[in-house]
This record gives sequence, C-alpha cells and structure tokens, in this order.
Amino acid sequence: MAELRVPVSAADHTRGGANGRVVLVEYGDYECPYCRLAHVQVLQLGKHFGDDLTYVFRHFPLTEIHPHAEPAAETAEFAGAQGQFWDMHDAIYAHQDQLSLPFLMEAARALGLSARSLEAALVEKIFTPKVAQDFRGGVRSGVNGTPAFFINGHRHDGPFDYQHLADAIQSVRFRS
Amino acid sequence: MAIYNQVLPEFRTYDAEVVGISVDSAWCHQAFAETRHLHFPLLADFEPKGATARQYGAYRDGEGVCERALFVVDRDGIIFWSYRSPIAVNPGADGILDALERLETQEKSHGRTQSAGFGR
Repeated sequence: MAELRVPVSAADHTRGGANGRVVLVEYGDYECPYCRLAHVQVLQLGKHFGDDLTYVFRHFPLTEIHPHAEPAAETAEFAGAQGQFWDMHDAIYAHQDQLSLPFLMEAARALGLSARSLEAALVEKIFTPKVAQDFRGGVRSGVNGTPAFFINGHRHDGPFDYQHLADAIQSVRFRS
Repeated sequence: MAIYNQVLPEFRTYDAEVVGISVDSAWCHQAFAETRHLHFPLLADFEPKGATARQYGAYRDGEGVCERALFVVDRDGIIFWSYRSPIAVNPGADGILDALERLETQEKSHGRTQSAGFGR
C-alpha cells in the first residue's frame, strides 16, 4: 500500500486539531469536481472529529486537463503567505464553477488582499515552486488521481464519501 | 493516464518513454487521447485481441481486458520491474519512478565496470 513520503511539516497548511490523533492529508486540484465534493465531506469530518483530526491540504493540479488548477493553487499560496490560505481555499471550492483569473483576482480583493500583487505573483511564478514541490511529493507517495487521501500516512484506497472516510479515520483513531 | 501524462517530463529525465496499451481499438484510443490531451502514444492490442498483453501475463481472460499492470523495460528490452495493481486501484507513478531510479543507478555502475575493463 502506498505511503506518504513527505512528512507533514510547518511548510504545510493544516486545519483542525493542532496535534490530532489522526492526520488526514489530501492531495487535491481546485478545478477537479471530485475534489469539490470531497471538500464538503472534509468539512463535515472536521466537525465530527474535532481536535482529534488534523487536516492537511497539498496541491496536485492536473494542468493538462484543468487549465485553472495551477493559478488557483498559486492564488491559495499567495493568500496563505498572508495567513489566509483556508479562506481562499474555501472560496475557490465554493465557486469552482466560476473559476477563472478574474474570479481569483476578485476573491483576493474580497479577502482584503491586493489583486495587483496577486497578478504579479502569478506572472513572476512566485508560488510555482511550492506547488510543484507538493505535486512531486504526491507523485512519489503514490497519488493516483484527485482527490487522494492519506490517513496517518497510508493511502486511502476506498471511496471518499463521508462514511468511508469517517470509518477509515475512526478505525485508526484510538490506535496508539 | 492523467497522472502519467502529468509526470511525463519527470519520466523523460530518466530517458524513459511512456506507452499505454489496451485491447481497445486505435479509433477509441484516438478519441481518448484527444479528450485527455495525452502526450504519449496509446497502443491497440486489438487484433489478435490481447496477444501482447498475454505475453506480458497481463490479460484477464474472464473480462477480456488488460490488467492494470506496469512494466519498466530497459534499453535491451528486458523487463526490469513490473507491478500488477488490483483492478479497482490506479497504481500511480511512485513505483515506476522508484524503478527508473534503481535502473539508472544500475546502468551507471555497470558503465563504470565496463569502462574499467580491458579489450572491450
């Protein structure tokens, strides 16, 4: 079974419990419709497991089929550099059907960020290496599509609806 | 396929080429490759059906389709590494990259041995 090769670190974006019993790492793509569905499930998992669950999102943009996935990922990193990664993350998934460069600029403005700075960051590819690093780590860990989930370091090969993910998390929750 | 398409530049750093193979026809492959923007060839093991897959031990008789199997073939046409995934699980690219890394290391060490030898 595929194992997470890049340990969770301070370079990651995490939400939920700071030191959860269970760490759920997702490799996702902002333009992938299955990832949008998974985003809703993940928020529910966060509510259900509370501080027992630490959630990490890493970028895995499939740029050949999703032209907006890379700028969206870099926009989330841009917001993250200013402490607003999750606000941008949620905004993108909430409006995935409108994903475009103008939308990303507008989303930045709505968070009180400078659209001009975002544009410059995208042109200068400031966050491209960070996204590429996530992608490469995902490939080496056996990410085989999006979304891909790792639960305490093991790839979750089952369906990613709420119940299957919740059961998989619960099964390792009290394992020492 | 989306993964291999995306990882293609990294495969090429190992001087490796990717080909996909299935029992579907060339026309079917063409339509699939076009919609997914695939940058590597898909081979049609269509007639006689599955003949190549059988030689690789990667044919599912019951269903009449190929296994989800990966093969890394070296420069001499010898299978260096292979993996058969459960049919419902996409095997990803990690095993392939690990194998290419090992193959490269092996080729380098062999290269040193040969160049150190006399009269070759």
